[in-house]
Amino acid sequence: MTLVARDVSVAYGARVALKPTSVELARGELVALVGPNGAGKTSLLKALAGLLPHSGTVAWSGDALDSLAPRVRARAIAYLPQTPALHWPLLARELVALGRLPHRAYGAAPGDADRAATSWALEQTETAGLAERSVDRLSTGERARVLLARALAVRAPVLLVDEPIAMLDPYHQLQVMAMLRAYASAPQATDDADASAAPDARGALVVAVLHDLSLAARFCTRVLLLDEGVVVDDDRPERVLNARALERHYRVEPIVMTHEGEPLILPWRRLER
Amino acid sequence: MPLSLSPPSRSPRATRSRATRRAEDSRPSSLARRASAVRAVAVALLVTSAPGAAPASPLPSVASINLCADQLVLTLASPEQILTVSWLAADPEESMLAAQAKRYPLNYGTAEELLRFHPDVVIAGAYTNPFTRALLARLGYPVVELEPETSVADIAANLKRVAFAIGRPEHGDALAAELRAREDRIAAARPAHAPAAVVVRPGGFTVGQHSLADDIMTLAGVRNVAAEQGLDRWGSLSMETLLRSRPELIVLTGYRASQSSLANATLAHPALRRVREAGRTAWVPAPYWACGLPESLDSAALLERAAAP
Amino acid sequence: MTELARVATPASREPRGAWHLSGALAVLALAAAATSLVIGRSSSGPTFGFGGPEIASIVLTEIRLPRTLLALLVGGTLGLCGAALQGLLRNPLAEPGLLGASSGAAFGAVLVFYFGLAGADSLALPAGAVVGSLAALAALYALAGKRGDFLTIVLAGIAINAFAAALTSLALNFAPSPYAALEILFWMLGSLADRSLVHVALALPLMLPGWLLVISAARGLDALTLGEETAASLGFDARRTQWLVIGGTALAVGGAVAVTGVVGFVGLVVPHLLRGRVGHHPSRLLVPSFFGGAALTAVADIAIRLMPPGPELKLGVVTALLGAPFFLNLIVRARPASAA
Repeated sequence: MTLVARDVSVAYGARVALKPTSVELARGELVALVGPNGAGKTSLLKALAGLLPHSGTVAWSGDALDSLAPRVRARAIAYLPQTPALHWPLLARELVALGRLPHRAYGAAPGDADRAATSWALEQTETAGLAERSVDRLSTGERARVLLARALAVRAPVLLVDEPIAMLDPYHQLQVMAMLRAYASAPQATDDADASAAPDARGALVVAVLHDLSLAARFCTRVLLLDEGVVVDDDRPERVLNARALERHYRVEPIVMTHEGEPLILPWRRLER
Repeated sequence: MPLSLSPPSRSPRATRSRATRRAEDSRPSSLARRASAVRAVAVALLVTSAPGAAPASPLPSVASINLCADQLVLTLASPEQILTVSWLAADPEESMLAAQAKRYPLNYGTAEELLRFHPDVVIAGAYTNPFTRALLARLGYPVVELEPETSVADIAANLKRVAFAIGRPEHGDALAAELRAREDRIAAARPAHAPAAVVVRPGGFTVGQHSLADDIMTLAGVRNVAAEQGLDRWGSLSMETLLRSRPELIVLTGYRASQSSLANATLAHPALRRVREAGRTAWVPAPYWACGLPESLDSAALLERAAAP
Repeated sequence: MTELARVATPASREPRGAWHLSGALAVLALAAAATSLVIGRSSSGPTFGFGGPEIASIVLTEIRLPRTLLALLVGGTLGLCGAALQGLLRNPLAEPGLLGASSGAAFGAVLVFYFGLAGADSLALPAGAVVGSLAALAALYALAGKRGDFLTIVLAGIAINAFAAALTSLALNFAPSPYAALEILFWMLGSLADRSLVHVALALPLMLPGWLLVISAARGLDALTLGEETAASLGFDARRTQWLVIGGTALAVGGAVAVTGVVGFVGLVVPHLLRGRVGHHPSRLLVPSFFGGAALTAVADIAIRLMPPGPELKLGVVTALLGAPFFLNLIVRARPASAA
């Protein structure tokens, strides 16, 4: 039940976005990918999703991603891009229901499982009240939550999300982070048939690219810090997100403190090189 | 058994016999088959009767769906034979026989219309809507397709062809003979000097070699400058060419001259006016050259007179 | 404020709603077809019934039936392919003609006219049109196949359209006679007059596989609502969906244009009218657009026959006359663009 990347490297033409990287991610983890702009976070995420040509291999539960049928892979790994495209003004509920496409046979009407998953996803993102509205009538933040619900509706054991809270107000940022943590931790949160069979299966693997270091520190179980295409640190949040690392890689002088026992990290001053 | 509806001197068009064969093969219903068989027998009897002998059975009924075919039918058929001619034949701007055409029901060239007339034979043009021609042939109607006339000889050939198809071959032969005689008379009366002439049609078009107009001009003893310069059939005439050729005779073909149009506006071009002032002008109404009929030779006589010094 | 109650799914939004719409439109199309079978046109204008008893069965089976069938098949094809292309290109202005299939087919037919091969019996005319349509598809693949992204495809389609139109104009310019030129022009305006069952038999083997290809891309079109990346993450290869739609359209539309000439606007108008009623789902739009296109074309063809006596109006003209005001209406009531 692990997502394993071996020597994965991504290049766009001559520019190497991600140098050969190996990482093992397991279910039950909420992993944050952090780092300055252009560090290769999105490239790594897309490579893990199998959406990008890359060298090296990515395997889920021992199976290489490109050896899996597209539908099988789609049921195992759900992905939410950074700026999701949306071309037709569907109803929010129907947009979320698109997440069930990998589970539905051709021509089959949505079944009870599909309806249940859709409703569950709407509840998880607190968008049930928006369900009957057309998505082009929603605010950016509301739309972002509906699109996240779409990714949740897949109920895949692996959820890869690129900056899921960038557009959200503080209330919903906290709500989504808590929800993702619960999704990662809670057993039987997914549709995966193997979940009950494997003895050590736990919840889901959630990997999120984040810019908010406080939220990453508070909610994530593991942090990968990337800079210039390399994973410079991979550990628990309190170990990775220390002042020195932030000064070095983000070039900001942070205020690192605790409040009510939880970490609080504020970028305070820019550092000149 | 394929019908031979063309006189022996001119081999049937390949599509013609194909049409008949297909008609035999693809009869849609027994009614049509029977009706077609009756028609076939009637026409077969007609074509085998000796020329000059009175026909043993009534003449086949004729429907025509093409302007030139209409006028040939109006010229050759006896009035009770003609079921319908196309609507263009009744328009004096298009047809030389408009007054005559108005006496008959007019059709717009669709198969369903023609079915209601129950014709024995349909006369069409080579460029009549191919779908209509195909459908009529499929339904078992003999369809005669006339190529547009490109010479006076073609007029005679089409006269004979239509006459044969409508069961009056002797009439066709007679008219062809008259045509030939008139041709000879016009040729004999040619002026000694053949003036250079240019045909100017609305829109700046002119006629070249291998066209009816050109043949008539040659007959009338007039030199077609455009044809001499190598133009084939039809094409546009630049004002520059017109000026440089210094024509002695300008031939204008009027077409809906009373209607203002861009095409007619070219006839008012100043260059053209200049050239006309320097030489002579002849007006040939468009219907004379749109289709080939015995009446078309009137235009040759007209040109001859205009060409005479 | 959190929502605790589970909200029940309204039944009308389910795909069943789209089937109801398809059913209603199919009934409409059949009603139009039945009407089309009994309305004819003679020299004195519209007629009802089948003429005298001796020609009735011929009129029905050889004249009305092929015309009605083709109106349904061609209209359905245009509606279906228009809906699919709009779904594929994510643009409500896409039309089956965008890819060059129509203009390629028209040029193929024009060549047949030009060389004088369009004799009364020959199937050269439709065959030429089919060859032209497939040649346009081959050209599209040659130009855009490697990169294969939507922008390249659209640009390639525009280039092919322009080229085919230029070649057609060239052929018109050098037409052997003014009659040939007129013949070409009238054919290009689109018509169903005097088509026979032969033409139905010619078009159907192209349309059927074309429809199947297009419909098999239905779910991919839905996934593409979310963009290529998300569609890929849902297991739908954008390229595959794309070539299914394009290949199917070229086949089906090529077959249609081959027998009727160029009929525009149906593929543009019908999906627009129906899109709101299927909740903007590209997949749910396909079948209703088929029946809607069939109904619209059948009705337009009936309208042609109801005109006062005179030469028959061309089908392409009628659909264009219907389409232009529709477009104006669209512009006037334009919604803001959907979110990117």
